[in-house]
Parts: sequence; structure tokens; C-alpha cells
Amino acid sequence: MKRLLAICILAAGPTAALDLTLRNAIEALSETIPHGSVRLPDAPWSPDMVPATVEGLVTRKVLRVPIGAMTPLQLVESLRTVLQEEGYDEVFTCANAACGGFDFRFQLDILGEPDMHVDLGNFVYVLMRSPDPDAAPHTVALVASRTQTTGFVHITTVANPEAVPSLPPATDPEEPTPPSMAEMPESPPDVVHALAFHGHAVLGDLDFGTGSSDLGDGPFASLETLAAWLSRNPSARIVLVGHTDSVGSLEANTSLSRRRAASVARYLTERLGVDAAQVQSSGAGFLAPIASNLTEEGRAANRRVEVVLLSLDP
Amino acid sequence: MNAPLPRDIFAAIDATWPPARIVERGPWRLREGRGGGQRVSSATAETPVTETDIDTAEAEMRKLSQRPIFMIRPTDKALDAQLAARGYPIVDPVTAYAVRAETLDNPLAPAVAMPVWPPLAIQREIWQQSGIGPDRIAVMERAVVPRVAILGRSGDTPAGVAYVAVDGGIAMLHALEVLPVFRRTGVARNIATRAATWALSQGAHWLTLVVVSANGPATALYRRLKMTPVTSYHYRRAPDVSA
Repeated sequence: MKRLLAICILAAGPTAALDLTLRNAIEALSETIPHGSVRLPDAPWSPDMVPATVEGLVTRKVLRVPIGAMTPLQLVESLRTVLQEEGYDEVFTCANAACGGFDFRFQLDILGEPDMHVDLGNFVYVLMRSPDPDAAPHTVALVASRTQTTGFVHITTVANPEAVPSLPPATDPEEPTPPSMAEMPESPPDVVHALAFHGHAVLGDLDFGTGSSDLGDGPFASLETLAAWLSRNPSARIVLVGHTDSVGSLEANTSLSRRRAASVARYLTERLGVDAAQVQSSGAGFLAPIASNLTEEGRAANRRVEVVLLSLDP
Repeated sequence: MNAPLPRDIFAAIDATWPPARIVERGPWRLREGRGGGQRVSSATAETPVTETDIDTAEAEMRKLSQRPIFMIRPTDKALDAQLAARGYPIVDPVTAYAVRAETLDNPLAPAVAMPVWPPLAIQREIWQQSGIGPDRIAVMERAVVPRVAILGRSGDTPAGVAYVAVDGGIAMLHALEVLPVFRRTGVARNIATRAATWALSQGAHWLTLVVVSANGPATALYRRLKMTPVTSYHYRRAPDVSA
């Protein structure tokens, strides 16, 4: 059960990078500096003010949006909402002259013309910060402005390089960490998720015709995911169980279901490089339906292959 | 995980051996290398490019005081021909190799090859003697992925060094250098073995590297380590600095 808990925590973790973009936007330019520093003012400009400098993994990009009557504030609204939902706090926001005008503009380390355009009489600046210093990014600054026809949004992000991605704790190379479910991707794809939580899962994107055990060429997302997970967890053992609809005799269907499972097992080992020792296959014929055999829809659902997790411990 | 695809290799190169700055503009991914070598200074095209696009990329690179250089991957045949027509010669064909980390993951006495981070002075010295100076060590230092420097020893004597970093399920080994007197004594194999063990501890099941195809001794070593070629690329460099 401990393992299952670990997954929940991982899945809920804030480790996935934010994708800050806008509908219909064209990304005119983007820049990544692994170790950089940018000035990100957290107050209006005044003669005795020195803007805060933030260091880390810096990205800057310019989005251009064809707009009608949208104001700069409206341009950043959706980004601001996303960031607030992710737990970022609004540190400082200002617009136009209230920011400090011309002088403020030149304290912003933003990409220049012609990629980015700032109309000093019509722009907005938003600085947001995560309470978690290891959030990736921990700081986001938005600058939005517009011309007659085009909106410009400049997005600066800063992250702690050591937190991107979170470095695993130092391990003794003589005792490699035993592979565990904790090594799953942050958002477990459905098959692996179901396998971890319920011990079995339907490989939903495989489609066998009535009477056929031919799997086709793929690719099959569920099998790719499963193969990746098996390779990360060499101690995991699975059995693939074939199932059929009720058309025909039990004997014929049991044999067909075995062939279906075997063709999936072959796909995993031969095409996707999974260790054959991790994979068994068997067939249950029509004895374990998940839907009614009285409708075509139900029969299609019953023609399936499930994966059952047998063991995980080394 | 399956054998790495070419795109995984190219992504791993940028993640494990990162430029000081990456700029994506139009079809181009431009790299500012700050003396870290052509791998971190070359431009790649992410979509088909026009002659005007090439002019733009050349100008951007010159603005950074970099001699225009483009990385040509297997999918970049059109750009290859465009640059050939401009008189750009081919520079340094490179082959990428990969092996399942489990294949190399054998027990090894701890002192024979030690993973450490940050690099020790002795490791910097060995790199320096092998032509890998501070500009390239800066490349390793700015990587934002898990990485280590491996010190290989022969008896009690530091004999070789390498840098290995992980991007997703792929570990990439760079800057493997063995001092000349210790060559052919198994130091490189021990370093690769330790790199594989470390890669697995980071959840990476493939150990990869890129090597100039003309480097016969290195290629022979990697083949002995059961590494197999997974992709290749070359550079096209502007015919002369001022061109």
C-alpha cells in the first residue's frame, strides 16, 4: 500500500512544467538560458529604486496574438488565472504611467523590437511568484501590449536549476535504488494507473475483429506505455489475458483468446523490447465478460485483452 | 523503454550538453556556445527553410561572433543540399551509439571508477590535459539534469574521466578521456560500466554517446562495449570566417 501512496503524491506533485501559452498565439521567439539572471521589478519605478534581480534557469518568449479590441490586461488575464490556479501569488501588477513610464520600461529585461513591442501608453506588467521555491518555474513575469492589429505578450520564467527536474537523492552506486512504482511518470497514463490501483487494466486501444487474433501493426499507446513501465520496473511480472465474445464454442473461443493474448505478448517482447521473463499470456474465452453479449457494442467490448499485475517485489 | 530514436538522441544532446542560450526564432533553433564547441554553437532547422531563412541564421550567428555552422541530422537533407550549394564543407561526421545500461551494469570495485559531482580538481586536470578546458566544463556545470563526473583509476592513480547526464530514460556519456599511459588498460570500460550503473540508479535504461565517426580507436572501444549505432549527423560550416 505504501507504493500506491507514493503514486498519489507524485501524481499530485507540482513537478510538471507549466505550459504558458494563448489561443491563436504565434510564438515569435523563445529563448532558454540554463543559468541566467533577469531584472524583475516588484515595485513602480522611482529614482532610488533598484529592481530585484532573479537568477536561475531563465526562459523568455514572445507570443503574438491577432486581436480585435482586447486590452493588454485582457491579454494576460487567462495566463494570470492559470497561474493563480497553480498557486502562484500576484506580487506586483501595474499598467502604463503607474509603472513609472519610460524608466520602468528600461528596467525590464525583455526581448526587444521587432519581436516584442511595448506601447508605453498601453501596457501591463504582472509579476507572479510561487510560494514553493522549487516550483518550476518559481517566478513568472508577464508584459503585454498591443499595436492596432496585434497583441504582444512577453513571458519570462525563472526556475531553480537544481529543481528542474527534481534531482533524485544521491544514491550509492553500489546499491542502485530498486526500481519501484515511484519511478513512474508524474501523471501515470491510464493503463499503468489502473494497473497500479486495481491490479488489472483493459488494453482499450487494441481492436480484434470477431474470430481474429491479428493485432495489426500499431502503434498502440497502451502497449507503449506498458512497455515503458515494465522496462522501468524490471521486477514487475504481468499476465496478459485474452477474452472473446460469445459467438462460437467455448473451446474455440478459449483457444482464440489465448492467441489474442499471445499476439499482444509477442508485440511487447518482439516489437517493444520487453523482457520475455516479465510477460505471460493466457485466455479466458467468453467466461469473463465485461458487457452484455446480446448487443454488438457489448460483444466488441468483450473482445479484449487485459493485463493483470502478478507481482512487483524483487 | 525501446531503443532511443534519433529524436531522443538529439533531445538528449541539448539537455545533457546544453548551450549557454538557446533561441528559437522562426524555423531555427540557434545555440550560443560561448566556446563550448560546435555541438553547442550550431543551428538546427526545425521546419524547412528558405534561402532567406539561411541568411537570417547566418547573420544571427555572426552577431554572436560565431562562425555560421549548422547541424545536419538525417532528416535535414534539403538543408544539407542548400548549404552545399553555398559552398559550406562537411565537418566532422558524427555517429551516435547506444547500449542497454543493463548490458554494461556489472559489479565493479568502488575505487575503480567513482561518480562525483561537482568535478574534482584532478578530473579537471585530466580533462585539461586532454584538451577539454574550462569552456567545456562550463557546459557540464550548466546542465539542468542529473549528472556526474566519473573518475576512473588504475591502481591508486587517477587515470581517466568522463561526464554522464540523464535526460528522461537516456543517459549520455560525454568527454570520456583516458590519460595516454593508461590507455588499453580497461579504464574506459570501467568508466562506462560505472556510468551504466549510475544511469540505472537514475531510471535511465540506455547509455548513449556521440563520437566523431573518424575516431577509430574510440569507435572500436564502443563496439567492444556492445554499443550499436542509432543515428548520425554532420556539420556544415561556413567556408571562411568572414564569409
